Amino acid sequence: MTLRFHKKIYSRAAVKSAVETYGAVATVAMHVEGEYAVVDVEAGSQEDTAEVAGELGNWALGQSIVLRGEG
Amino acid sequence: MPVSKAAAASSKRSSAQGGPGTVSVHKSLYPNEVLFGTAFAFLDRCYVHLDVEGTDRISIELLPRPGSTWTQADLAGEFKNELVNQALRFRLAKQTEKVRTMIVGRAIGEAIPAEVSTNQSFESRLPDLPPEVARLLAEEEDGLDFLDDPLGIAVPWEEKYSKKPAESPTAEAAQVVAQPVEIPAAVAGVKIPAKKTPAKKAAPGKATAKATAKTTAKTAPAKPAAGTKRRSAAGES
Repeated sequence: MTLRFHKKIYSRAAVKSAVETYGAVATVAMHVEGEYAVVDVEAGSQEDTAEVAGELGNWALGQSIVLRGEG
Repeated sequence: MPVSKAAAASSKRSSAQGGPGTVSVHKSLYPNEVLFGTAFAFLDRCYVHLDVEGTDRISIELLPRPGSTWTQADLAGEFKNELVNQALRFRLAKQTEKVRTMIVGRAIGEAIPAEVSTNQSFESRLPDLPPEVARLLAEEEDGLDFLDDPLGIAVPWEEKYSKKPAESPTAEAAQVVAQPVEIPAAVAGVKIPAKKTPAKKAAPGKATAKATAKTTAKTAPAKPAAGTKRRSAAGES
């Protein structure tokens, strides 16, 4: 599953933090494509992959809001 | 329908491409602060993903968690309602920012104790006192040292009320002992008998025998000699 995080909304540090956190429970890889930080997530099953991807996205969004000082 | 209301309605339309769980908002109507505050509130309920849509719009995709009872349509509806709530909070915060800053600043400033200057007059430090009292206190305070004792409160009683200045406590005691006591004449001629010391108590056995012997000797009447009567009785017969 591939996730795309726009740099105007998600800070790079927040995405990195999410990748490091969920790299322990799934195969996570990050690279940059233009204005997006692209993250590839691969867990055991499709349901697990979807769950890990969703939690990773929530983590990145929460960290971005906190770093902005609005959370 | 006025143009502004139509624009507002279109800014919150659900995008057909994103599905029922997708919400698209215009930046002019809902600033980033409102959007992020709303998204933060939904992080515990579902999966939230934000993306840029064009130059002025942001799309929000809401996916329910596994095992959740929320549907995508419900999540989108709740998200829109929360957007309105957060927008109102943001507007009120902006309107009252100056007043809140002033209130908090004044509260903090009053909490800090004010420094009292040394040149400040006594009356100004105690404004609640009557002016006459304040003036007297100020006069006393000016020329008063903590070692001064104008009323002699700290002077010991003996030092204050003794007739002769005592050089040393032993000399004073000796003087008191050496002074002769004057006895009045009426009392001088009276002889006071010496007190008789009480008789010592002797041993119980001997003492009682002696005591009884003495008492019987004293108390018993003198009996005539035994022979005399008998002789008379025998002579007659």
